[in-house]
Amino acid sequence: MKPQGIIDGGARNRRKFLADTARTACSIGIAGLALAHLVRGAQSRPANAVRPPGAGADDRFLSTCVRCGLCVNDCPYPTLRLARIEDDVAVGTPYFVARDYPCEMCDDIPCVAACPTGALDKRLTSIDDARMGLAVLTDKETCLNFLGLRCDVCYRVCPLMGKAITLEYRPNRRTGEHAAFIPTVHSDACTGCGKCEHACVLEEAAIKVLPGSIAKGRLGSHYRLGWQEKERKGEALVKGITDLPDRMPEGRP
Amino acid sequence: MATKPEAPAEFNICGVFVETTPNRLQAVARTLAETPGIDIHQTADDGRLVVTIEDTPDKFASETLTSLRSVDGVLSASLVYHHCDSEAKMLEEITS
Amino acid sequence: MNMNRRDFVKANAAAATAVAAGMSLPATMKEAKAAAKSAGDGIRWDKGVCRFCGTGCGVLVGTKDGRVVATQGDPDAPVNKGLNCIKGYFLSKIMYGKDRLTKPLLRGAGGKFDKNSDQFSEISWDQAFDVMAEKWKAAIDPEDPKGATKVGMFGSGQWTVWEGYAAAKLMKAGLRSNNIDPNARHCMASAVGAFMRAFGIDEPMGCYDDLEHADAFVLWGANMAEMHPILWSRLTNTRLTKPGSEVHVLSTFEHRCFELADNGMIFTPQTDLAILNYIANHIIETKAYDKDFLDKHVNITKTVTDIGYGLRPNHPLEKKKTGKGGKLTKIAFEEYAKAVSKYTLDYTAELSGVPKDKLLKLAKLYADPKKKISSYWTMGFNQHTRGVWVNGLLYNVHLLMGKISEPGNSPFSLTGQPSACGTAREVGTFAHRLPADLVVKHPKHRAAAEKIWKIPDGVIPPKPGYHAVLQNRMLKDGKLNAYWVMCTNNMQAAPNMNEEGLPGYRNPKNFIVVSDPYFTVTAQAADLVLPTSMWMEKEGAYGNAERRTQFWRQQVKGPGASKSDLWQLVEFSKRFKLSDVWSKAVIAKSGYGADKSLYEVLYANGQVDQFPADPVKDAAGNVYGNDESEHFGFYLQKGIFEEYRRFQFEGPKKGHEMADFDTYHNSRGLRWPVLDGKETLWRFREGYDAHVPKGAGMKFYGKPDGKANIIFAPYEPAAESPDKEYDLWLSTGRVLEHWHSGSMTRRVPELYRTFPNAKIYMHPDDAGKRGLKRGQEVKVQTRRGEVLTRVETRGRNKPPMGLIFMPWFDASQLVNKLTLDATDPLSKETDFKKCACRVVKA
Repeated sequence: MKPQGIIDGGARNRRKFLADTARTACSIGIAGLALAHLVRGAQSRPANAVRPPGAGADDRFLSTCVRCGLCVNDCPYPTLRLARIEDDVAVGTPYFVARDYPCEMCDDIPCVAACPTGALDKRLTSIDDARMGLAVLTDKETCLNFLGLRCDVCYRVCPLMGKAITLEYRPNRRTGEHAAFIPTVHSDACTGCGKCEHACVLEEAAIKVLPGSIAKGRLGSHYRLGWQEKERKGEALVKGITDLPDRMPEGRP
Repeated sequence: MATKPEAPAEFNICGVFVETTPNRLQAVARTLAETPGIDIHQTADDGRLVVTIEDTPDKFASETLTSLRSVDGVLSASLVYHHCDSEAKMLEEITS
Repeated sequence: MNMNRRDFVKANAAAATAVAAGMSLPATMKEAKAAAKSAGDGIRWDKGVCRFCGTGCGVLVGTKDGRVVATQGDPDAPVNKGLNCIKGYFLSKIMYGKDRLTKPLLRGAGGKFDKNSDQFSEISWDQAFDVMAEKWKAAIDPEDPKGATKVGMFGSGQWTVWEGYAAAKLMKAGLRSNNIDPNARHCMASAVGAFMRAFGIDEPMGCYDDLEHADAFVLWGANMAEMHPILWSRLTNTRLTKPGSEVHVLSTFEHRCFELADNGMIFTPQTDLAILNYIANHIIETKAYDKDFLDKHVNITKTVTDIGYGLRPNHPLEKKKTGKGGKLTKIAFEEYAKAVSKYTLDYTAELSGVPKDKLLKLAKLYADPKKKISSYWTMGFNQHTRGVWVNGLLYNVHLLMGKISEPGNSPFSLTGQPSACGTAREVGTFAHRLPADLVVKHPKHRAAAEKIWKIPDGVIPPKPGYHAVLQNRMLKDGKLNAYWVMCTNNMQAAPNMNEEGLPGYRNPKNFIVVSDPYFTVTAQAADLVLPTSMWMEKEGAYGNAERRTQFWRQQVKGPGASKSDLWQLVEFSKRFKLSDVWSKAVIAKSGYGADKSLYEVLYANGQVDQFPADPVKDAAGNVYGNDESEHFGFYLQKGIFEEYRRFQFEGPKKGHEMADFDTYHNSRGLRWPVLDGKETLWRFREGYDAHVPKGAGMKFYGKPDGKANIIFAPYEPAAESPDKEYDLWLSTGRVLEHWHSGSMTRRVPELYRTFPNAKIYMHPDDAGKRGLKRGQEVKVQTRRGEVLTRVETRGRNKPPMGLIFMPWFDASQLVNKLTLDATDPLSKETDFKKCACRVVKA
């Protein structure tokens, strides 16, 4: 079903540039000082560079990705790109920048299907299970909905609207008449596709997809949430506890 | 009726470090200045030049860079910085 | 200091290279940063109104160096208290699309008109009006007793109050043609029809304050969460903060309002007629109705049935119909009770597909005398082949319970355009209307208008003109030949574009003029395109859905040679002498010379031109431009508004009174009727409404006997329903991000990015059955055409099996190639919510 011929223009342009540059390097010999500068960052990547679905942790991914580019080739949108030497991402590995082109969450996950090595995990069969990163509302001071305006664009573009992003209603105390609709990301559903960051109407997005390892806090293992534990068990964890009635005036419940 | 998402045209800008000999500096600088897509930002009397090369309607920056080797007097041309962005974005006004 | 990104990147590239080469840093970047910091603000702020929906949010407009550079929600505006939706957030950008029209454009090369040319050439305003006047005069026979039926105009609920008034006056009093209709015909006409039938006077009795007073809200075909975002946040706040409050939502597909709903109901299209009759039946069977209220304030009637679908007369459906029109017959309460008794819970649940418990919960809510209920609707009710009926059926329910015209008890019709009420409805831009609720077919109303307008009797034609859909048909049939479309994008908006829209525009007999700020789909189909100054480029006034009239001053000049719609209308009137348009007999009666221009008779008439063109100032002493004052030499807007007010105070119908012109410039909007310096929040109830006499309690004074009408109407099927060949319902509509056909919002890059193209929302199982995947390109086909789009099975709208939803804002996917031009035979409003389609792989 894949729409054909979408990676044209830009991608061809990029590839041509890479090829040309390589030729230049061979023919006239790039000075050593420049090369050293260019190859830095092979092991790290900027926070806005998001890996494709099924990539998992970077150390595992980098050791299995053979930089073949087939995932980029099969991505039906201009989303996935191959890191170039100057990109601060391990050269030849696939990534995307959500603000430019987010993941469209294809049902058939063609990038994973194309991967010859399993660097993109073949066990990922439902795109909803992908965890490319985690959307984080990084700036509540500029988010229009926190200010009480009715933007909620991030919520409406979310492919898992109502699950990955919900609107939590909160009275607007300043006006006293309106409700503020607070976008709230849920890590158990967010795939990190980046549609929210892409669509954020601010000049600098107030919601951003970050690598899960950076975005997510972790509760201390020494503490549990009482109400969740009770719900999970379906009853009080400690049984047989009684209470005595309160003394009240006659006739009152 | 086109509804396919399309990748917009991209635009390349490179920072390139050019080396020549002091006695040929003027000649090289003149040639580079006349080459479409090249801007000279800095020159040093010992024969070093800082130039930027950008795409022109006829040539990618990479092609211009490649062609530098055929310029008389150029000893080396090193790509130090490369930026690629959509053409539309390049025309955006920014306040820095 | 401003620079573009390319310069910025180059400076960075040079800097990085210099560092690598061990050379010193170029200075450009440091200087740029310092320069940017030292820039001052220097913005002048003035009050204005949002350009988009009928909510009417107050905004403050920031101007600097002749350009609107910023806006903000007005923190003191009662409607929105400083808030805006995402469209309002981008208001400052809507006037600055890169392709603003700045010169008149004539079809043909070298300034010579050629209907068959595919190019346009720039001409002057003089040349433009020369061509137009020639075509108009050729289409007008001054001696024709029916008036100038070959000229027409299509206007707008986005016109300012004076623009609508000037247009109606030019057409009806000047050119003698009632063929003027606004795009509000596609939007509000059914609501108008129902207001007139039930109450004898247009527009809601309540106001937005009901959003805080009500205990329960019921949405009937209104997606307020997206279409009236600020009102929705008020409703949500009440739901959150008022204990026991409830929200009920009815729609033919699940949308964002269902998230807040305590009782969300998806019903089969068209069965809202049955559901409302079921509620009435429940109220009567449980004897919950307010007998005292009914006895004192209500007449019970029934309407003619089986009235067809407003299609062309030769359409098979029109030949089958047995009834015609909207005549009401008084009936006894018992007869009404018997008529609704057919709509039992079982029958209605079966027909509508809504589970019985949900229907019962809704009926019980309406029947609970202690619950104050506000009901809201928009296009779900109005764009309906039985739109007037279904509006009326809701009034029936409110009237049975007496839940009306008091805080919190409010059947409320929301509007889609910023001045659908203030302009399209109130100043008489409909084909059958005159200012302040008067109608052309009523001799006394015509006489009143002719008197105020100082024109002889017999000028205004008595027969209503062509309504929106009929205009397109008449253009196609060659009976309407000189046609001016202003401030609206009707080629994109009107139904059945392939068969009924485009053919008329391209008919060689016709000359089509389009006035717009942008080169819209409609402009592309025109013969002459006139560049228009918009919004803050002119002085303006809008009236919102709660009867609030709001003014603004001209903040900036329009680009190039663009002119406001008002300027265009009034300036064009100079091209006609009375002898061009009125019969010799009428001219003789008028006392005017045959050589007098329409401009002198209509505008420079000693009335409209009575206020001097003094500088417009605000309280702080800032001086504002007024291009019309400057050009015509008098305060045109004020003159028009004050003449319009004479209709309110001297006309045969009371209830539309407004404050004087200057008061509005100094207020944040006032809800009419404004009498003795006070606004009216709830009409028809003693104490709230000055027109209700002491001791009466209530009075529906729009009707001669002071009583409102309950009007029984049955369920009747839609014009076109899914069948084997075309197996899905197609409903069209809007999205929050785009408004008014997208001509402005799609030119704001950020809004464009959030929702660049239309798509169809479809149930995942419907997609699966057809082998379609999310994001796949598909063809949507109806009997009238096909459109290429993509499938969406996730996201904001969740249709049930058997229905798809497609927004119409996208000029690259013209969904109105698909829609059927079936209209409500009473209101003439198109049903954009129901036709049959199929979806196949592209």
